Amino acid sequence: MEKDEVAGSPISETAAKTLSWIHRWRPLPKLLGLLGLVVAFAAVQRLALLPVLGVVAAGLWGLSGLPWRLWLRRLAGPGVLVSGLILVLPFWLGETVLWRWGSLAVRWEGIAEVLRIGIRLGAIFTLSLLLLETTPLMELLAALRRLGIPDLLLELAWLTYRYLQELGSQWQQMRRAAQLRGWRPGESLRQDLPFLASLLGTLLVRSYERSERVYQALRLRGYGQGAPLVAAAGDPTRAYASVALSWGATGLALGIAGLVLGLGLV
Amino acid sequence: MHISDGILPVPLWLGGYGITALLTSYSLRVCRQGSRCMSESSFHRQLPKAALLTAAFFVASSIHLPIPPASVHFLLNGLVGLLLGPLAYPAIVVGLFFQVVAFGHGGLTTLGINAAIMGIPALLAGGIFRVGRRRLGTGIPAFLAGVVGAGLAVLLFYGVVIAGLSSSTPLATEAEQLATGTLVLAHLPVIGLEGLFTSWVVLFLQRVQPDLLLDSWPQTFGETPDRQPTQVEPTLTHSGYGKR
Repeated sequence: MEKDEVAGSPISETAAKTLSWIHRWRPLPKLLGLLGLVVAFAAVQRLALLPVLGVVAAGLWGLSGLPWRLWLRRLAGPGVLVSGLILVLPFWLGETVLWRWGSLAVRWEGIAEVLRIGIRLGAIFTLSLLLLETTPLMELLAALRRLGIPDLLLELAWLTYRYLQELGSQWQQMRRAAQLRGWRPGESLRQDLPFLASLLGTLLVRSYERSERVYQALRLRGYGQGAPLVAAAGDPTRAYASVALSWGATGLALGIAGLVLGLGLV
Repeated sequence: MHISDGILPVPLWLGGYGITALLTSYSLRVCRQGSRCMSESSFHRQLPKAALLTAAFFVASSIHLPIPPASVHFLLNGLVGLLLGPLAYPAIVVGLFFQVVAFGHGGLTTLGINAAIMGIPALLAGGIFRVGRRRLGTGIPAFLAGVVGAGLAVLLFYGVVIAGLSSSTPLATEAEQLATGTLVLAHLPVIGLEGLFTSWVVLFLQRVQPDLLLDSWPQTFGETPDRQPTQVEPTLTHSGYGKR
């Protein structure tokens, strides 16, 4: 695994480079607006409405100024997993046979389901990526806190995120050191498995020992005395225009979501 | 083993969020209640431990094994369950969230149902290990925990996907049976390997850092460990078996 894969932190890097209007959309209203659209898109059944999903998602992505090649690169994750499903569904789903060749039969319901799954996935994936790429994680967690997600869960997420990259580098170092000592991964499953088990065991032991030190350091800073690690984000600039615009955009997004939901459930 | 956005009907993924909300709040409440029997600090101590182990499991999910005709990776949910106890469920929620952020595996709408698919078997695996360890030692319950964690997750995954697909359109029966049978059979060797791998990791931890196996369940539920383990420095020899 590459180092940047472990980091899971494309968020801040991209956000720092470009500052489109979507980037400046306040975290809480942005979260509510985009999640409203995601829920509405996920509920769409009507085939005629599917192009609207694509247009809205593509339009928002275009507004964000994020590069399309980033979208394509990130789509590889869910795309590979779903492509198997998309390949078998036309032969597997439904009863209306459109074309038959021996025991293979292409069914209309299967094709319709492929279209629904493919376009819904693409649109929801775009909105999710937009949210995650244009909002720093800390601000996202603070917005989630204001929505009532328990502090403990957010603290767990924050601490995990904080140490992901470090442990990823450590894991790479351990693997490299093992290879320098003569380990050849993939040569024999019988040798690889016990070795990888001990490698993972070592990583877990190091993480555990590290967690003790992290706990002591957090205690020194007052952790456990009532103050949450993830504080609710305030508005230090008190830019009322920006706040009003953000909530206006959220209202618009929720309006579109309501419309899509109303028309798309048939 | 993550369901992507757009596949499941709304009631199914909303139900997944409902289950996850219930189980997460239950897990956190159990941890808090358990810690009251010991001390408040023991509960706060659990959180960095859970976070760092979650990060370690996230990193370790990159282990791919070349098993023809494809390459597979371990789920490790059984191991998470037996190491973290009730905190395994929130840890899995967080781990899956970062899978969405980093790799796009899974999705925001399916986070709840994916957490249920991985988390329920993890809690069960933790319980099996805890009960089995009193009677059977460490290796066999760890193996069972790994097998149950992965096996149940595979069954739940395909069950949910097939239920989701057949909710709107009837499936061709023969095709459905063939696909389900093939998929479950194809996973049997991987489930066995997951059990073996889990037991090896647990046996390694027992030799090197037994505290890791002792302090999640007993402290959580306010029990006192029956013995104080001796801490041994971890070693990784050339062959990597960590023997002393």
